[in-house]
Amino acid sequence: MTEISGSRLSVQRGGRAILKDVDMLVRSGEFVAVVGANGAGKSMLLSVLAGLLKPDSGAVELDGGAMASLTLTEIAKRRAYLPQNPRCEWPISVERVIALGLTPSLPAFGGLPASFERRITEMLRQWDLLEHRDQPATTLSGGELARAMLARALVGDPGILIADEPISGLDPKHALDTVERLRALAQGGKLVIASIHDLTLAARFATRIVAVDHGRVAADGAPNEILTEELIRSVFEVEARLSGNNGRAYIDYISPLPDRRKI
Amino acid sequence: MTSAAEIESNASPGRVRSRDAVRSRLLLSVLTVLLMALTLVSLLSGRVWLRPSEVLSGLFSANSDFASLIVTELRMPRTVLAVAIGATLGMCGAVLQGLTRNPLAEPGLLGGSAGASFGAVIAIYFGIAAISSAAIPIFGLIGALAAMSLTFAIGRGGGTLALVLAGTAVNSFMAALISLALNLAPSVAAAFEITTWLLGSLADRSWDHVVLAGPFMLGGCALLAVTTRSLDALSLGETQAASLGVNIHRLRLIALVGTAMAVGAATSVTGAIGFIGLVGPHLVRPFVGYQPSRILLPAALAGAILMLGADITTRLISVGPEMKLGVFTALIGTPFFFWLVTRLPKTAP
Repeated sequence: MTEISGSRLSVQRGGRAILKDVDMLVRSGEFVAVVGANGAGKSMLLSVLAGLLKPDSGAVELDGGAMASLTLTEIAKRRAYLPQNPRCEWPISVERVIALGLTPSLPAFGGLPASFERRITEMLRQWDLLEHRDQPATTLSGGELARAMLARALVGDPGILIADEPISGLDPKHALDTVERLRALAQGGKLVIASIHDLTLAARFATRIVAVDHGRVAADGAPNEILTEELIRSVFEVEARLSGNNGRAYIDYISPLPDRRKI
Repeated sequence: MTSAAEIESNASPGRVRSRDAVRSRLLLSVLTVLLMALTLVSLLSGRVWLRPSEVLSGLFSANSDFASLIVTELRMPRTVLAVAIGATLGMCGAVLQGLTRNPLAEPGLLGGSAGASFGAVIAIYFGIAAISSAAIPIFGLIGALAAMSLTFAIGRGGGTLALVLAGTAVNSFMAALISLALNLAPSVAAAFEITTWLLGSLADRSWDHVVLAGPFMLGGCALLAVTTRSLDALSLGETQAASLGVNIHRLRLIALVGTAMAVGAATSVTGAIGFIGLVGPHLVRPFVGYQPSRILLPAALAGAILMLGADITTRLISVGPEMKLGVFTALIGTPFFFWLVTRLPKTAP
């Protein structure tokens, strides 16, 4: 059982508050979709929860212990993090890219132990990448790269996966495939936190939605409890129609609301 | 299209590891043999050609005839320095290219070479070099450390790009200071001595230089060797590397101090030698699957080969005054740089 709790998290950048007094408790088994407009503070929230960024005030706890007291490597063994549009900057083979996910568990020198090699092969199989194992990661298609990066994130079997917009830029098929896999991971006992712009997919596949608006949590709960036309109007400033529920939700955007600041 | 059965057979654990290892070992063997062959040529060749038997007797017997003296007092230290400095430059290039994920990065990038040059120029300018032969290496080292610390101090807040830009600025500053020294040079002779030194050469270097610079080059390279895991993780970008437990600030500091020590010591012996650190890693990168950690050792060997090859060539092609090593590497290296740049659109990720 893994849990992350953030209390009164605040982050300031350039005199502007990006996160304001955010409280959050998330547990393994949950697929938490963080939604919100561009610049609402989603990425910042994920970085703080991932232990990559220290909040200016407030504290994050990982399984009851202060995140700030853990070393980067200790955190890295327990949670995987994928930034938005993760990519590989050298033409390294897919297999070696996945192997990089084992970095926190490796000694400073030497090759990979055989058990790790088996684990990498297992990930290649799970993520349908076996035929790409020797291909340079820089030549993968968007969907393949997304799978390779998720395989990279999960190869060390961390209890927590935090991904910033894992389906941005993916076509409908790959986006569906990815959120399905994320939900399966949560059902398998991992804690999955992902920022997602596609509200329909978030409503259908996430077990919980956290709506962030101007650095504050505007709503937090099960999709069919909190996702309403009113919430979309206030958080996204968009007039929308919501139909269906319980895993069959549809969200249609009708028109943008006039800019709040101009009213 | 690969069949399922093939995929299964390919999927046996350790398959790629052994293939990678075999390729890596093969590359290292080829480079080592090449380096040994060039070392031999380096001992034989020069204004006076020696026979292999003369070299052997010079190396292994206590003769003090003319040939032995040439081998032990001139060609041996010169060869050892070429190998050590070439290896140092190659390794520093590999680390800096990995750190910045920029294939055009090289040891001069962070101001180390220029700083070392300026330190050496100070030693020549004030006549300290005339008092002790150790003055140039020591001042060069101090100059490299000072210049790279300045780079680090200016560029520390803004990531790797800021570090590279700060390095460029420090390079320009050091170049300006060197120009100032030339401008104010007390005599034509002093200006000539400075210019000659700046051109870069291994001629007339002695065991003193090996003893002075060797420990710093070794220490610097040892520091750089610690960075391999982090460099691999960095191929996923800084955010992902940090999420994998890499302390980016510490990594940058280690790379900086390691490069300052190694390149500072190397430059202070030879003067500025460009392009070895740029070209060395490029020659070996495709053979090791582009993995930054696997490049360090082959890049060091390739650097040593390039340096030794260049030094031998300058000895052989010179008809009048010996062509300076730094001039030769720049002449050969610049077209390579052009080629790299034109290839960049195709290879840039």
